[in-house]
Amino acid sequence: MVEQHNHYLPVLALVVAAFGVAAAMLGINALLGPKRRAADGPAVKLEPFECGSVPIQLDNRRRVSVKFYLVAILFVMFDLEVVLLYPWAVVYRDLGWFGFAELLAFMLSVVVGLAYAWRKGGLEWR
Amino acid sequence: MTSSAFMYLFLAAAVAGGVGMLALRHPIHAAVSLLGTMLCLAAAYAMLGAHLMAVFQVIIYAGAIMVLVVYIIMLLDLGSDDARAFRSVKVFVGIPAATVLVSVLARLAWHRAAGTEPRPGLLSSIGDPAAAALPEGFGTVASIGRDLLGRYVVPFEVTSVLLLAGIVGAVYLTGRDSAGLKAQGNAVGEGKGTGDGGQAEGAPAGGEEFAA
Repeated sequence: MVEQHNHYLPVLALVVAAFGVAAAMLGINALLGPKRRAADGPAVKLEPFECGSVPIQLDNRRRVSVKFYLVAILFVMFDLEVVLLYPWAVVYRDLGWFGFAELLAFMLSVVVGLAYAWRKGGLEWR
Repeated sequence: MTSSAFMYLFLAAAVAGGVGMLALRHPIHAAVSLLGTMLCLAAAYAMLGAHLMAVFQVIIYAGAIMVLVVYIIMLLDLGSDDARAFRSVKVFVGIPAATVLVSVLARLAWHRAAGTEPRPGLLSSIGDPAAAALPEGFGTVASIGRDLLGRYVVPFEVTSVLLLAGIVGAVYLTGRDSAGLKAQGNAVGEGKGTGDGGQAEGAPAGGEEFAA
């Protein structure tokens, strides 16, 4: 059973590499970086620096603009479309021109959706 | 049975992610927990031979749906305490759902302990992947691709119309269409006067519409 999953080894390598890079960036920084913290001086060193004055707003989270909402929704829709191209791309040599025509028909209505979103200014930043 | 051990590992991690999502107070931490659950489920799908499902789980759920979830959290800027507003939802939806799930699992465990076979269905092959006798290549991307563009080509084409409806609905509901803007303005009451506030209220409704 394990042998059947050998083609997932690249995925494992990718996961290990991703965690490795992140751990290296944090770990090497923690090992080699200078450690002059609150223990070495006044706690004011840990506060955000704001031109010498008292910081106005320590909580720096901001609401993200609602303008991104349509972008996010359209991304989801076109992501769903692209993911359906994946099984087609694997077998399109076997399917030949018929499969190509099927995919063109599929793409047509999605492209109509793209044209509609474009025409209505859905891709504009406003 | 190394593969069974991995299966239990992934499923335990998925459950742990779900528990973390409920237990963590900060919405972003909960979202990251949910992401872990989705990735572990993708690994479980791959181990069950549903390779395309695993790919879809990663690209659609861990990719696209999580974008929406995190975006809504950041849009509404929910604090850690705002989660209490959903307590009644937890009680009235969560407890029946948990009861159904636990009863299904208990039935499976009962049959396994008694040595009888439950009616084949959900979860029946977990723990013994070899028990599921599948044809060669079942669940691979190539076999599903052949079925999708062969036997099931009509549903495949209809899916594109569904996507078109989703795109048009998204553009309309976010008010890019002037008629849609007018309708939304009437629904909110004050229209553009409230600016972000009015549109932010419309945003979760759009998300639910997509999820349904």
